[in-house]
Amino acid sequence: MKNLIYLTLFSFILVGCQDVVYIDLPHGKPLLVVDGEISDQPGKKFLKLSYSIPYDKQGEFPVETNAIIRLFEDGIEVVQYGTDSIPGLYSTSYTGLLGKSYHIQIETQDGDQYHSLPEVLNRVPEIDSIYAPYINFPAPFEDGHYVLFDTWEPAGMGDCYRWRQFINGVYLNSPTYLLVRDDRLVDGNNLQGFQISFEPLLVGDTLYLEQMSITRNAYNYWTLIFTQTAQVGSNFDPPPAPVVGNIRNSNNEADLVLGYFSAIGLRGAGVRVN
Amino acid sequence: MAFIGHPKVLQMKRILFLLLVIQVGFLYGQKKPVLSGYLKDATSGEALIGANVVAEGTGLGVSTNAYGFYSLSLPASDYTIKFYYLGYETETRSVSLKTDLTLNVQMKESSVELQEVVVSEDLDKNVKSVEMSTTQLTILEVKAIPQLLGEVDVIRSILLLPGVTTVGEGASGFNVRGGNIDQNLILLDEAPVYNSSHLFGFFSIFNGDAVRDLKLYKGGIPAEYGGRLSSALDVRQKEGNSKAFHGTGGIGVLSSRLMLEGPIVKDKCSFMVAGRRSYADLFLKLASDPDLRQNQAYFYDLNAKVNYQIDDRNSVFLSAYFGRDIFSFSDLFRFSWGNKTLTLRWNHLFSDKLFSNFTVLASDYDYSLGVPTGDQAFDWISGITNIYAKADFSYYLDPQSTIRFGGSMLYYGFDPGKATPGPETTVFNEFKVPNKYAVEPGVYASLERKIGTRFTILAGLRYSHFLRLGEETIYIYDENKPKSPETIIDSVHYANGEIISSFNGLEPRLSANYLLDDESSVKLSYNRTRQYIHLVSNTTSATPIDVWTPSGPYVKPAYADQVAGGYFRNFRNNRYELSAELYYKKMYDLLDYKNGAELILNPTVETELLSGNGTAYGLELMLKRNGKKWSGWISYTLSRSEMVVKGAFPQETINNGNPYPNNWDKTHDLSVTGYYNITKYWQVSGIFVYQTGRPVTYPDGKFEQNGIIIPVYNSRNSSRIPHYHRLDFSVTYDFKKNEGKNYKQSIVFGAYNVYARRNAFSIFFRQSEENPLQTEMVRLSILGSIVPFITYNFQF
Repeated sequence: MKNLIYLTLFSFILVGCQDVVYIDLPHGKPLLVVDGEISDQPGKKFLKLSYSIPYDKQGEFPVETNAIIRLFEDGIEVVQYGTDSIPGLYSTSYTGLLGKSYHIQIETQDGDQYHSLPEVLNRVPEIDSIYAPYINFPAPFEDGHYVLFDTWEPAGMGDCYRWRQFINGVYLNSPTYLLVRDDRLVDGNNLQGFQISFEPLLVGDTLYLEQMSITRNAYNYWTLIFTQTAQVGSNFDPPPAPVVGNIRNSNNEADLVLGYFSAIGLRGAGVRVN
Repeated sequence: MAFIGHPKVLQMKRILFLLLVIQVGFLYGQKKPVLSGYLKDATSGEALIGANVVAEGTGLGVSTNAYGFYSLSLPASDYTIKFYYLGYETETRSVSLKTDLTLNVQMKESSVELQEVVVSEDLDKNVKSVEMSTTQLTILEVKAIPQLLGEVDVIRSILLLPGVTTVGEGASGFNVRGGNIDQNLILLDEAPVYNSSHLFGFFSIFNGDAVRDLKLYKGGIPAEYGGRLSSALDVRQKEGNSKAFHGTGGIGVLSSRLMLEGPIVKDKCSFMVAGRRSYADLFLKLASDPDLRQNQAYFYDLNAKVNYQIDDRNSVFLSAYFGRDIFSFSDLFRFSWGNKTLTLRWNHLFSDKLFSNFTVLASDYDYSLGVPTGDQAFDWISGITNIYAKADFSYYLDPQSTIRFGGSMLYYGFDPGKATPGPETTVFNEFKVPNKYAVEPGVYASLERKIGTRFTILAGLRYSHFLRLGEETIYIYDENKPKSPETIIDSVHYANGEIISSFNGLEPRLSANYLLDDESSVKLSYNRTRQYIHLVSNTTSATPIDVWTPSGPYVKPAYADQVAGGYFRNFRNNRYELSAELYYKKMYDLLDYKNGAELILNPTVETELLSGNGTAYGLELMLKRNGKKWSGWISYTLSRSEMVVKGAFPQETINNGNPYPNNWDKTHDLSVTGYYNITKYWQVSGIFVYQTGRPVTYPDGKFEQNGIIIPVYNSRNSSRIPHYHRLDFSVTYDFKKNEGKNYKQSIVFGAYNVYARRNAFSIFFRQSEENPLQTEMVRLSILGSIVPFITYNFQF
């Protein structure tokens, strides 16, 4: 709902003019970044270890190779991640279970130790149907094929969701497509005609949608990332803030470590525009 | 400066105050005849506020109050009484004062051109008055300076005064001496206004044609004003011409307006009605696309006032304001917000010395937004309602002493938000954040006393109380954990009218003036202010959907202590006014917000709020010239405003507990404003503004997660955007054929940001649209180009 409001504010007011500038920015020290998740679906689950770089530097993020990563289920170690062919990438085929809690321990090559705070794998509903009708929108929105889907929301407050989209197999990583919602306004309802594409698709395009259950903590994390990356460029921006996830340095809790390790319930569905 | 809040010091102040009151008691016995009456404009019958009444040769004098009333008791004798008012011809009356005498005087505007501000013989109020840190702008001054799109805007105009800043162009509200925008008590005919902006902050809700007078108190705030920490902006609507029917109006690029006024019963009863509507969306009707034609984007204001002078001792008025912004986007979305106020006031003279004012009023701010049709239709409303009753008394004890006292009772209803699904909607449930209720009683008394010929003191004390009332359910949180919906351990239900929380406190106010000579003085002031309600907003500029919230179990009332000292000097026969002021202000228990706070439609909004302390200090310089040919002022402020938020948990701390500057902190703030009468028909005016860029947070790194590039921010507001500067000008032409005619016309044209500087509102950071793995820094300019305007004005 809040996003809808900001969207409206953007579309109605004079957004003024924007131009790219160059400014000398401060350079902080590189920080470890953990990017991984365990889901309830079979198949490989990836985890990436990388480092932050100065904002005004363009290029690759350095990675952490040869780290040892252990996965714990309800506090008991269940598997150790293997290294992948891509440097910095690790994987496991272990499949998570609904209602169990997961966390990881990381030991880097230099012997530094990190861990994630436990995350419970929550229930996730199926995507009942997904379709791409031709919609006529009032100007200035474009007419065209937009993807909608139907699902349902289980009764009981507190469920949080995130959606990921792939168009023709390409993951949409623009911050505007970072879709995170909780069930505050829709608890226990059938959700029909939920529009997820903001721009029209071409005939022949395929869209694959992942619907994920996330924890409240992960919801807060992704919401903050949304405000820091997508809700910028107007006079109604929320203040920039440090994005702290659930990764901690095991020897120094106060040390800032970036990223998040999630436990997710995952369902997917795809559609081809005809 | 921390000693100010010390209980012993407060106690001493209370004793000092009592002593002054006792001294007044001793003086009470002497019976002198009283000269009293009202000062009014001779052509319109409008009351003249703050006009000077002086008994020549005695050094005794008094100013008219907010209703144009004065009272002066003098030893029985013959006097020459002079009446002075800025822009008016001085009136002289000879009186033989043996018994109490009523002398109502009508003053004529100076015969020079309407838009010229004239030097009066006696303009030394800024030196001689005990008030400091105040600014009074007449609507003529506001109209004389260049305005954005030609909209006469009182709030934009006060930004040109020292100590008043804003976050940036298009930001709603204004910041006084380092305080947040919710710390200003904005009164329209005594009714509090909760959102002073149209169009998300570009324009203020005050229609220049309906406003007569405004006064801003930045420090030394008199005891009759309470409820906000940093300032009081007192805006008065026109009363309506009680002599003849007149109108003014104008057609501009943004809006058109019309004000009509006239007598209902000559010299007894008058009315004023005014309307203004912007019409950006009317141009959309010309669009070829039928969808575009359905869109609406406009605002309007309606002002009305009826004034009835029952007899010499009684007058009443009824004043109303209604304004709204409306945006609708075909049948996809609509959004509207606005203020409503209604004031009923009765002035009664109990005696020639005791003036009273009784007011009851209602004020409301609300917004509504939603999707009107379809299966995802919903309607969301929120607002704040006030009902207010108060009584104010002025007792003119003798020419040296005025006592003011009164009491008030304020009722608040807060509706934080309710979202209702449409009839065909199955997606959304009805969702309501429960209403909150509170009352705020207050009493005050003050004494203004002249001691000897050089020293004046204004000592006041206000006592305010705040009761948060049921019906409401209050959650209890685990004290050992940061507050969040997950740490609720219990809840308590309070019945209708039951007291949930109670706060109260004294608010001492003190000002003193010592005249060094006839042309210069030094002044000192101290005030404590308390604020029980807060605007919950964490965006750079407040939005119309931000919600006011009362103090309660988890939100403490804020309070502030301010000391200010100043040097005031007039020279060249009051043609020039110079003032230099220093202030230091400590603010306690201000709100800030957790990172990523969700403040809207949140039933546990208290879990997102943090508490901090603020410090603001600065130097304000102002040089003003009042001339027949040219007038204007230079204002310069050197200041700092910062905040510290250090909670018990890391989640409740901002910037690691270190101080950070507020968004509106501008180190240097210079403005030069001038208007010049070239001929009788042509007038030019200009503004130049220079400000230090506002604080901004730059990232010191970035990282990637799930393909999204995320900036790493560490220290809040530690950098600054580039400096801001801007030049505006306008030219006014009064038609030659106006002479001798009742129907007068003028054309005003000009431009905002003449040299089209792309002033930054912010610098922000994002993934490049072309290559999402690259990042870029972007400057956002709100009014980054020249904005010309032309307005046609008329009056009859």
